[in-house]
Amino acid sequence: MTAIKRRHLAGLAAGFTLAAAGTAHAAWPERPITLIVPWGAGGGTDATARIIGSLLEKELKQPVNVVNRTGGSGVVGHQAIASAAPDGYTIGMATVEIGMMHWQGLTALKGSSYTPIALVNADPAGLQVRADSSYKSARDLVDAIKANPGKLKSSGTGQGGIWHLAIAGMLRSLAVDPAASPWVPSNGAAPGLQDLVAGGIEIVPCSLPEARSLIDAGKVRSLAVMDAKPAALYPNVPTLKAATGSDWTLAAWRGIVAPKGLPKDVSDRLLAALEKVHKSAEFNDFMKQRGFGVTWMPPVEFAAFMEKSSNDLGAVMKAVGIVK
Amino acid sequence: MTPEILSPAFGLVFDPYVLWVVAGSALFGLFVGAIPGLSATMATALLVPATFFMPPIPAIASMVTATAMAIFAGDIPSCLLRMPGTPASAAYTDEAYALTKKGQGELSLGAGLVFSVIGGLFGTFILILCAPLLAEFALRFSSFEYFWLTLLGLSCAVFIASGDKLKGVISLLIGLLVATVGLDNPAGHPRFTFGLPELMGGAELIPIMVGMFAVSEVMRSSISVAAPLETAQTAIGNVFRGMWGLLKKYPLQTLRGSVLGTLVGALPGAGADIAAWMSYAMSKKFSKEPEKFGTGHIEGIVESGAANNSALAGAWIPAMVFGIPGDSITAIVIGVLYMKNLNPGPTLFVNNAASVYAVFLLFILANLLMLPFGWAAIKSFKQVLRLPRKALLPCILVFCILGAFAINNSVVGIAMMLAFGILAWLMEENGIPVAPAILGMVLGTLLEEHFITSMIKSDGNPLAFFDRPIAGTLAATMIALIVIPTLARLLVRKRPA
Amino acid sequence: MKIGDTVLGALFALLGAIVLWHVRTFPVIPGQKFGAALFPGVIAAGLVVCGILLSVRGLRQADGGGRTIAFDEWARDPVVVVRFLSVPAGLLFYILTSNFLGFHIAASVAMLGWLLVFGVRLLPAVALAICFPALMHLAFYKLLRVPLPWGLLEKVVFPS
Repeated sequence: MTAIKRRHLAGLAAGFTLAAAGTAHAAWPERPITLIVPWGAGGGTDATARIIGSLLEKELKQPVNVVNRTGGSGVVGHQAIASAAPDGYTIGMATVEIGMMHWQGLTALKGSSYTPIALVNADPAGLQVRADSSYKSARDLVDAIKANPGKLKSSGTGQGGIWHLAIAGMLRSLAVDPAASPWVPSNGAAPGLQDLVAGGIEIVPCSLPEARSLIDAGKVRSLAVMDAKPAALYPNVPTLKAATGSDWTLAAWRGIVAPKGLPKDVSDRLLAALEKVHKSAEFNDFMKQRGFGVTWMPPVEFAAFMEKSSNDLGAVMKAVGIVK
Repeated sequence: MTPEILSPAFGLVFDPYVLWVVAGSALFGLFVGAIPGLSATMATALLVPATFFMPPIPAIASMVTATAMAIFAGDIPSCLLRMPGTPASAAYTDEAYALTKKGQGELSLGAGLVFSVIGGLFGTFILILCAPLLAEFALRFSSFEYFWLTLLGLSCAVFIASGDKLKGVISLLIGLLVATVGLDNPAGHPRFTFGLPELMGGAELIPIMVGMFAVSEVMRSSISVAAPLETAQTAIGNVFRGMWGLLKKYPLQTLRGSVLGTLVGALPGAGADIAAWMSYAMSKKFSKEPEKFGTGHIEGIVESGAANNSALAGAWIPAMVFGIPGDSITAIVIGVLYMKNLNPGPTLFVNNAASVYAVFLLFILANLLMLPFGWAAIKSFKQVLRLPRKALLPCILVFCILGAFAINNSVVGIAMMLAFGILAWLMEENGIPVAPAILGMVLGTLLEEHFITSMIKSDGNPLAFFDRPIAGTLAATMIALIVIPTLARLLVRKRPA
Repeated sequence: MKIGDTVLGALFALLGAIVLWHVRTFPVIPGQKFGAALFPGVIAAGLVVCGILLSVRGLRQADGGGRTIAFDEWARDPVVVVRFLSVPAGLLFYILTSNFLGFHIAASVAMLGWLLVFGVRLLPAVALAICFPALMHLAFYKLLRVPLPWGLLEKVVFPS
C-alpha cells in the first residue's frame, strides 16, 4: 500500500513541478496566496496561522487565505502543502508532527520534503496534575509512577501524539519504563484536561498555554516545564532539569514552509516579509496574549532543527513501540 | 444582577459601532448558515481575522450574532430543498421537507424561526442564572459518563426510524461503519483508507449529508422534471401565523427541548447537532401521536428547533467559567477571549463583570434580532423556488458541489457526496431509512473513543462503567429505557390473556 | 430499483463478512488487549446478523418478491433514464475535470448539460449556465474566500 501511495504521490509532485516550471516569478506575488493549516479552525495552530496570514497580507499587498485541511492527525494538510505547485502561491504551516508521522508509516513526508521558510513558534511541554492531587513536585510524581507502574494514567492527545512522547521521553530519561504511565488517547489537550479535572486520569503533559485557563481557575497545577528555561507565562513553574535533574526537553513547534523547489527569489521575498511580520508589535502582542512562545529560525537553521526534532522523536517512538 | 453592573454593560452594547457590527454579522451568519457545507463553526472561523482589529465587545458581538443566525438559517434550505444548511438541522430535515411537500412550508419555517428564538433565549437565561453551577457539573463528566450519554444518543435511532425496525438497525450499522474510516481513532491506525491520504481524515460529515439528503432527492426528482415541484407551488406568506397556537399546544415540548439543548450544549464535546437528534427522538418517544412523525408533523420541529439554539448558549457555560470549549464554535471563541484580554475562568466574572453582562445582553439582543432578520431571510430564500423545477435542479446541484467542496477545499468531498447520494437513493428505494445512518456517523467516533479510553483507564474492568455516581445514574437510565418498554409490552400482552 | 430483501440481506451480510476478514490485520494498542479492530469488528458482526435476518425474512415472503431485483416503470423510458443518469454523470464530470478546467468552465458545462437534458430551451439554458456559476463565484470565492480552482482561466485572470 505504502509503495503504491509513494509512487502515486511522486508522480503527482513531478507533474506539478513540470507544470510550474518556466513560469516567471519576477513580480511575486501577483495573486492571492493560500496558507494551508493542517489542523482545525479554532486551535492554536489555526490562530497563529490566521494572525500571520492577516499580517502577511498587509506586507505583500495580496490576500492571504488561510485554508484548514484537517484530518488524519495532520497527514492530509501536510500532504496538501507538499503536493502543491512550488510557485509561492501555496504555502503552509508545518507542525512538529511532520517529524513523527513518517516513523509511524503514515506518510513518506519529512521536514526535508519542503522548502523551509522560518520557524515562528515553539511551546514546551508542561507536566500537569489536578490541583488537589498529592503530588507537589515532578520528583514526587515520577517516584509515584515508578512505585506503581500502570496506575497513573496520562492523556492529552492521540496515541503516539506529541504529548504522549513528552511524558514517555521524560520517563525514559529518568530510567523509568515509559509504559509505567499508560497513555489514554484523547482528541486534543482540552478533552484530556477535562478528564483530568473529572478524575478520569492523573497526568496531562500538554503545553502551558493549553492548560492556562484551568491553571488560572485553580483546577490544575503545573509541576514542571520540559524546557531549558522557565516559561514567561508561568515563571514560577520550575524546569524539568531543576525539578528532577533530567535533561529531557520537548516542544511543539510551528513554522512556515513551502512546497519543495520554491524558486530562491520567491523564498527570499517571503522570508523578508515574514521576518517583518515576526518583528511587528501586532504579532508579538497576539502571541503574548495567547501565551504562545515566540521563536525565530531562518531557513538553514530551521531545516537542521526539523531534522534533529525528527531524530529525537523517533528515538522515543521506538522506545514506546509505535514505530512501524 | 445589580444596576451598577448593568448600566455600564448596557453602555458597552448599545453603542452605534457595536450595533453596526451586530447587524453585519447577522447578515453574514444567515448567509453562511443557509449554505450547506458552510457550518456555524465556519462562520465563526471566517470572522476571526476581522475580530483582530475590533475592541473586545464588538468582537464577541459578531461571533454571538453570527452563530445564532447560522444555526437558525440552516433550517431554511433543509425545509425548502431537503438540504440541511448546518449539521444541527439534519435531525429534522426530513420532517421539515415533508411539511413543505404537504404545502405547509410556512408553518415549518415559522416554527423553526420562532422556536429557535425561544430556545436561544432560554439557553441564555440559564447561562445568566447558573453558569458556574452547571459548569461544575459538566466538568465531572469523564469518558465513562460520555460513553453512556453517547449510547443514549444512539438509542434514539430506534425511536427516529419509522417503519421497519430491522432496516433501521442496518442503516445505523452502516453509519457506524462509515464513522470508523480514517486515522482518528484511539489506536491511531488508518482504517479503510484504501491508501488514499484524503481518507485518513475520515468521512467528512457535511459532504455525506449533502449527498444523502440533497443529491438523492435531486436524483429522485429528475425522474419527473416535467411535473411541478411541490415546493414551488407553496405560497409562503406570513410565517408567524399560528405560532402562538403552537406555543400553547406544545409548551412542555418547548421547555423540554430548551432544557435538554442547554444541558447537552454545556457538555464539552456534544453540541447543537447531538442536542437536536436527542430532542427529536425524545419528542417522538413522549408524543401522543408518534405515528405522525416523519410524515410532516410539526411537534418534533418545535422541540428540536428549540434544542439546537439553546445548545449554542449552553456551550458558553463551560467556555466562560473554565475556558473549556462546549463545542467547536466556543473553541474559537475562547481563543478570541484570550486575545482580547478577557481570559475565561471564574475570575472573569469578578474582574470583568461588566463585560460578562454585556455578553449576556448580546445573546438576548442577537436572539431577538433573529425574528426580523430571519423573516427577511426566509422571504428572500424562497424566491429561489420560483424557478421552474427543470432549471432549479441544476442550480441545486452546483450549490451541492460548492457546499461539499468548501468544507475541506477538496474535490474528494464532492466525490464522497456523489457516492453517498447514490447510496442513499438506493437505500430509500428499498425502504431503508437514511436518518439512523447519519446519527451513526455523528456518534460513532465518540462512542468508540469513550469506550476504548474508559477501558484503558479501568485496566479492562467493565464494572468501572457503573462505579462513578453520574455514570451509574446514566447507566440506570439507559437500562430503564430498554427494560421498561419491554416489561410494559409483556404486561400488556399478558393481561388480555 | 427495488432489490428484494433476500438479496439485500445477503449483500449486507457479505459486506460485514469482508470487513470482519479485513480487520483481523489491525494492530492492538501497545500495552492493551484490544485495538483498532474491536469497533469495526463488532459493527461488522452486527451487519452479518442483521443481513441474515433480513434474508430469511425475504425468503418467507409469500409472493417470492424477496428474491428479485426489479426496475420501476420509468426505467423503460430512455429519455427519463438519460435524465436520471445525467445527475451522477454531471457530478462525475465536475469531479474529474474541475482542477484542470477550473470551477467556472466545469460548472457551466455541467449545468448546461443538465439544463438541456431536463428540457430547458437553449438560449435560457446558456444564459443560466453562465450566470449562476459566476454568481456563486462572487459569493464563495470573493466573500467567503473559498479557494475555488481557476484552472484554464488562471492564465487569463492572472497573466504573468
